[in-house]
Amino acid sequence: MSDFTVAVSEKAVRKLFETVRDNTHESTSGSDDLGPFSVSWDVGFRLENGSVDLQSDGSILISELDVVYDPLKLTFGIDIPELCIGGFCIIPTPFGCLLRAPRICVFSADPDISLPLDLGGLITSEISGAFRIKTRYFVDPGRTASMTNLDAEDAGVPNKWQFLLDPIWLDIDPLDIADTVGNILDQAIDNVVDGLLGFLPGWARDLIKAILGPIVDLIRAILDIGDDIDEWLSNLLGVSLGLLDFVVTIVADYFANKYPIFALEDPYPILGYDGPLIPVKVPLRNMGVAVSDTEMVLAADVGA
Amino acid sequence: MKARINTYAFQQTTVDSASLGVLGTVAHPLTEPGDYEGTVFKNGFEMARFSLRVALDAGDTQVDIDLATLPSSRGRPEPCGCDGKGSSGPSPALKPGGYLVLYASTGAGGFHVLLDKLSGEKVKGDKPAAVFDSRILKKGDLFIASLLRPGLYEMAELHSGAKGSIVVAYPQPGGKPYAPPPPATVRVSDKGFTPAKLDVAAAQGIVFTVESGGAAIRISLQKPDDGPAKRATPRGKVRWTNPRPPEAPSETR
Repeated sequence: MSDFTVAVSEKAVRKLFETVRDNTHESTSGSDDLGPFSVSWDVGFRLENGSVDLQSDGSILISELDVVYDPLKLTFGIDIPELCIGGFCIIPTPFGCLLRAPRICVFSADPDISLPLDLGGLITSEISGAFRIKTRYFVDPGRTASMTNLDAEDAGVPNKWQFLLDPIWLDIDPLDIADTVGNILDQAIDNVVDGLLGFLPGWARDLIKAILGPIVDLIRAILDIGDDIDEWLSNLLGVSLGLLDFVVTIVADYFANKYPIFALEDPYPILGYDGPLIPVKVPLRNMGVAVSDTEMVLAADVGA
Repeated sequence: MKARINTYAFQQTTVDSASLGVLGTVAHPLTEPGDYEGTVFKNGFEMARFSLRVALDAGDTQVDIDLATLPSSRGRPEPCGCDGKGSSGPSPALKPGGYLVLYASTGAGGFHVLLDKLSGEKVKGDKPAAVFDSRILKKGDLFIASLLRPGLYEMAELHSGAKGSIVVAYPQPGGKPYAPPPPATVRVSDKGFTPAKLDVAAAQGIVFTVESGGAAIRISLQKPDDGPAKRATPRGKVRWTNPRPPEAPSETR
């Protein structure tokens, strides 16, 4: 029988989890050359919602935890084909063209057009996972070797028993992409092209756009978007940029190592300062955690 | 992001065989084997030289000379006029009957070329014979124009005074990339232009075939076509009218 027992209800565990969840946010940036185009990204995410269920097998099930990607800024570098006139055959012969008009190039972009796409808040995914509670004895790095336990408490750097959510498994669902993303992409393309050709008179812009063809279709083709922008973007972010792996890794690391859901000071304060009397603190040893489907129970011995 | 746009191509509204720019090209056939030297003038001033060899063993049926990118000959010693030395770059070789193609890929234009034959007939002592002046097109020469600016153009042959008209249609961005139709052909003879009226699409080539010597062709914009008028976006003014309060029933006694 343990000397020290704390029972935490499922509702309280949910509240404790929400603190961890709200502290979990991370961002990353980078760039890659994907052949026909390049992409650079500035991506961050935070967590929202999620349900907590204590399981009879000693685990904690967290489901429908929303990953909200914000910021999510992508910038594509795209080569627009050179646009030239001439080059037609003037004197054809059965053996080929005897005389051909020279080609005069009227438009080229070097190196690329740059297509920014801000999708912050428009893309989400869901994480679910099962966790076990991991206990860890934490010595605050701010505590110096000469400090007594009382000094450490006074300085706000006491040792602690920490309780962390150690993942057993984590699932992340495919990205959920808002319907408006397609329109945002098309509008971004129009804006870039209008900006690029903006100084030309209207007839010249119309001529270039006519020769290039529907510019949105052209750039969609260069980006290899196909018919389904959701599938393309999901593949780009999830596979090419490794966004889902990044999120799962960060969530696992934050939950298992960075943000405990709960912590107990060691030695544990029983009585605080009372006039001339110093606080009463008891050392906790053999800390253990048991989870049932209704509560989480922390148990420890009072040691020397 | 850096876009390179050949602005001269969009600014040019006159295309002149005697003053070549980005939208005009002259093709001159050379049948006599020998060494040739071309002198390039821009706005009347000599700018560059090039040499050319017409030989039976040559394989090319055309030699393109980009007048805008030739290295300048200014400050260089005068070529001796006997073997092509002093000209810029190696001599390209052309098959007899092939074409010397003169064009300018960029810039404001204003070019013409005098072509001398170095190893053939000589006139005035050491001076080589000028066999071609691009300002005066000969029978068999071609002048190729590509008009970009939509509108109504006048085409004129400056020596005979013959005139005609060209209408360049406004481009319509559509569902597919626009490819200009094959080039249109206009015969230039003592009788004028045939046909004298021409409808072409933007960027479509127009090939003038010179059937009598001494021609100079100028195409100039008369009336631009700026396309369908862009409708002003109506301002979204919305009027709200306070519904009249129901009249109070009149009191009757």
